[in-house]
Amino acid sequence: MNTMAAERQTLHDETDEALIKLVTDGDRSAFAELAQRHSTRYYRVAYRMVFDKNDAEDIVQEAFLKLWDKPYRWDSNQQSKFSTWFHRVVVNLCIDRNRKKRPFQLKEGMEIVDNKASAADSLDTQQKQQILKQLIIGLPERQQIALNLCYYEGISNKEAADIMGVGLKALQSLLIRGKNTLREKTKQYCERG
Amino acid sequence: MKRSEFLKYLNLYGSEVKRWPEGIRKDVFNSNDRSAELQDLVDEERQFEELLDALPFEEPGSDLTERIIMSAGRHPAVEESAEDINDEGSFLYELFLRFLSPKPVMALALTLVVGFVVGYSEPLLSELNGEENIVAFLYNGEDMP
Repeated sequence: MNTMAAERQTLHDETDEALIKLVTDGDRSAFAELAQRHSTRYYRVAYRMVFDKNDAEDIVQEAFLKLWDKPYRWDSNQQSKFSTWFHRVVVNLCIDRNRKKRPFQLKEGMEIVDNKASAADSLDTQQKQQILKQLIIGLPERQQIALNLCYYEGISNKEAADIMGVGLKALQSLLIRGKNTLREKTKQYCERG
Repeated sequence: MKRSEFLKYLNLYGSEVKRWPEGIRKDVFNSNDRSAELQDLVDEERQFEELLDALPFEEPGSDLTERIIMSAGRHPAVEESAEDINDEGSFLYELFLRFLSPKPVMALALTLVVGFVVGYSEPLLSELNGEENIVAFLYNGEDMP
């Protein structure tokens, strides 16, 4: 095994927290390892908040650049995991982007356009996907984030609460309200056909 | 276990009861009221989750990681260490880095200019002759003996 491969293997075995300490010292290999390890994961989080591939990629890139430029912003003394802190960075960038773009929201009682002349009563898969997407976009911001982190990312309630900077009870309340709203609205659409 | 309580846990932890926190899971399995009604609730939740899973998703470009690493390569690495900076002082520190640290010659020139302006705009005690200077200093505006 040559030196470079050995070094890469060493970095591969390091924790995120150890890597970010190396990044603070300007270690490019450690930064590359973090990017390789996590870029797809944080892309998923960003995509489910902005629903646009290019925007989600830009957000993840911007978040990593922030990490490279100012790694000391992650405070190891606060005892928070790197992933918790970096989730917060990505989520905040998504919030900023969504507030600038003002997402389209499905209005109450909006009709679903069915282009098929001989369409059956049931909605096709693509339509269902689009409706679900609009319903999720229509959720209050914090409920949307709670659903994204807890349901889609499978993050524990406790860590999601830390990411969002709220208490555990508040996070659970956001998650329950978000799911209940979605459940009711999807039921309404399905019944309407 | 009450229906409302069970529903709450379904919402929080999903339809896979096996994945629920151990303490709560034990309560469910130990309770005598594990009825068909609760099983219906689990089935409903599973259907709802299948619907949620239909949310459209686009995979990222295969070059995303490479782009991130390349873009960082165009930025200089940060040289400051975390010990030098705390959250409260970071704004001032960044301001210092931005305006003063890279331009020491400019900062020195600015200091000199300010010094000359202040110096020439005020009459100095040194302009008075020596004796008057001491008297003026000692009695500063009061009647002199």
